[in-house]
Amino acid sequence: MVVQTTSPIIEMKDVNLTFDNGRGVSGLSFHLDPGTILGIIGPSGCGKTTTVRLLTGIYTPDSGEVCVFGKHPANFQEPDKIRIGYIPQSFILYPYLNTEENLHFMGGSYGMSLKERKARINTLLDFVELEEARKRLGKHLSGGMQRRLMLASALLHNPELILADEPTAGIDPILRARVWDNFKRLREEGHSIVITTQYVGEAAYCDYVAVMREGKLVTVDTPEGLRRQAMGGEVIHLKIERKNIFEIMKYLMDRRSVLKVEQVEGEKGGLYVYVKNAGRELPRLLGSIREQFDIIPRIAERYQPPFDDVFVRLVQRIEEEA
Amino acid sequence: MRAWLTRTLSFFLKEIHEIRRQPKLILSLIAGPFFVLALFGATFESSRPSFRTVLVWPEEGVPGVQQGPIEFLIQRNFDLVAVVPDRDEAMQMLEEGDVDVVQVIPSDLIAKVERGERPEIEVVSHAVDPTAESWIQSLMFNQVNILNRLLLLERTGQAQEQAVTIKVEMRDAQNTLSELEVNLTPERKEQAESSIQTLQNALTLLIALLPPVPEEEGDMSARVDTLRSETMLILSDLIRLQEMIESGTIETETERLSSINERLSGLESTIDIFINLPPEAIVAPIQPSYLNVRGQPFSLVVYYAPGVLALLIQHLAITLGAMALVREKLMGSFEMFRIAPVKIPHLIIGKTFAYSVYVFVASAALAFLLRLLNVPFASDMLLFFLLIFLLTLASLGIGFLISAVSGSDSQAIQLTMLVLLLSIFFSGFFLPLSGFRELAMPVTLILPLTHGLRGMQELMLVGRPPDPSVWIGLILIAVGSYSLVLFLLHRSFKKVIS
Repeated sequence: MVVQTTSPIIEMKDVNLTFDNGRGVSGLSFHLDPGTILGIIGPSGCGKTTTVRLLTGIYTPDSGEVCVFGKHPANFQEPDKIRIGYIPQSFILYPYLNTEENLHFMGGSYGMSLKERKARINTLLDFVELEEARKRLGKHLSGGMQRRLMLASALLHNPELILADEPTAGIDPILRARVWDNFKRLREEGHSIVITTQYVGEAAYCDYVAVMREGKLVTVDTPEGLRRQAMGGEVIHLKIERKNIFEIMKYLMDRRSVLKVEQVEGEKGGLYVYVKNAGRELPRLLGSIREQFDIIPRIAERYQPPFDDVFVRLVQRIEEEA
Repeated sequence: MRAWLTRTLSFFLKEIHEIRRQPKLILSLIAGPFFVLALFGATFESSRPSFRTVLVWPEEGVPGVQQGPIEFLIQRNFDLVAVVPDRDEAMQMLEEGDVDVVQVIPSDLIAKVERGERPEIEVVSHAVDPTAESWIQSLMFNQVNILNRLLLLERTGQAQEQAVTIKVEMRDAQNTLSELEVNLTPERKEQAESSIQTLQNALTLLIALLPPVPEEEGDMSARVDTLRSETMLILSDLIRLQEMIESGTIETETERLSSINERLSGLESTIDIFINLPPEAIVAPIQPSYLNVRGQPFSLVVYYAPGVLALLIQHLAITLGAMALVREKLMGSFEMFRIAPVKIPHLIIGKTFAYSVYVFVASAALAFLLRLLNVPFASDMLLFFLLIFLLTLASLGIGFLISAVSGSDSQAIQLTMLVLLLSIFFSGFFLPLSGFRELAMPVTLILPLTHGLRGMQELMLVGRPPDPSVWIGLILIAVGSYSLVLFLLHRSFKKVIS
């Protein structure tokens, strides 16, 4: 069972690291509370892996402060190290060892006894659905199985903090969903998780999302908060009769609670209405439209823009601000 | 402590499982050297290279020498493929690569010998290999030595035959001189002059036929010298005697007459000795006497077997060691090990013991297979296994060092092959270490094979414990290489991944 603490597990304050080639990360500041999933999202080469490596102590920052469990990772001793489970970007387990032997090796390297390992391996193989591949060599596992084996090996010693560097890269959407199910279950068990991913849509599975671009942290927020930031508020999707559309748009824009109204591209009669609080505003808007124009919109719902759009808008906003 | 052992054991078991899943690797490393040695034993005939030779024999022949014996003599050392009368034709064959050596026998070979000159047998080769050239020169030297000896033997035989004739003529001369002492009549004077002349001719021929004796001191050569000087003294006495007879003063020189007679008696006994000497004893009075106190020497296959075993151990250990760390580095495992509570000694000790198990199994299997080739087992098995362990440890140290400095597996393989090449040249495996200048000694001493080979030969062939320098050498290599590996890996663990 994971021990719960209230103080942040990870704290990064204005961290900078520049490599010889001029790349690196700058101005990183965020924290991670216990029992939460933090997703670090951004395109390839934006600094996600560097951030994770700073958290493991593989990299030492040029300036700023990195604290994991209240210590600088470079000063970790054995008791600190066994609190962390790490899943690197590539499969680094051994092709000529079978699934079970790979797990025994990893467990052994964390000092677990044979008895402890046996019990834990049985549980974890079930957890990652690799029971049938127990005796299969690493080189004969599919890409998805290798990812799950890496996850199992990182969980073997029951760490409090899991650092997973792109654990879903290169695997199919169904398997990605399964991997995320595993992470959600781990969060429910009290584990804290930092995951990097290129798939912007996976932000929806996280408690907090850190968006990175060109070595900088664009923002850190909840998925909803990110949407709000990107869209400038919450969005209501309406579909109404075309003949009234311009009148209704004008009417809506005149309302104080409405921030912005846009036609939906490619949808006849479709409107996006931006408000501060969609849940509160939706019934009010519907009532007003029926009262004013005597029509009932064919669609009236709170719209959750996909994170791809959110990410694009966020980046556009950052660039505009810059 | 339990956790420390668990971590080390996990590396040990990981390596054991990984290698056992690659049986072809182990099989090739054990069966490969055995079959190479077996093939060597089954097909190797001689370490002396074979040189295709053409003999240039003059069309008119060589007076005093028969072609057959000369061809037979050449066949002893060279592969005589053709006999041609023309030197240019032979040179053409050499130019076109049909032969390796040309030997030209001059038509006036014996005539020159008889004139007291030193004729030459011309030998031409187109060797590019310095070893081959040394072999040709050595074989040619041997061939000419045999030819010289045959000529001397023939000449000695002729001298001994001549000496038998002389003995008869000396007796006649002695009788004539004895009669001259008693009664000198004109008939006897004439008969004496004739006997003296005949004896003079015979003795002159004997001196000419007496073989030149070697300069080395020896009983046989001293006797031939005595015979030569005594014969020359008698010749001068006979000239004086002839003068006395001619001048008519012989009646007053009876004392000299008896003295000549006595000398002739002495010469007769010297000639007796000369006649009864075997010609071989006169021409080549010294012959070698060789004894190998170990009894029969080993066959080349048996002799090389300990070296092959030591080379297998070194190569297997270096290969496993060289690939071990570089593979982990390339896979990204080092990143994982840095984050896990793993320390470098866990990694190195675990791998060392795992590889030692495989090297030990491989060497035991090869040693057993070598028994099939009648290679003797070590007399002291405890020392034998200790030697294998230390050789393995030293070689693994070199392998880990290669791994620690290599950036890729191909680089590690190249360095491994370089060590193999160095070992074959500088360990005493094929070329004796005494043939190298002092400058090469550091290279030879840092090779585990140099010490392992010596130890294996002493244990398996000589049957005595290896020299202390063997143990010291291996221990120093192991300690030095492991220390360097720990230092480099420690640095590599700390180094930022860029």
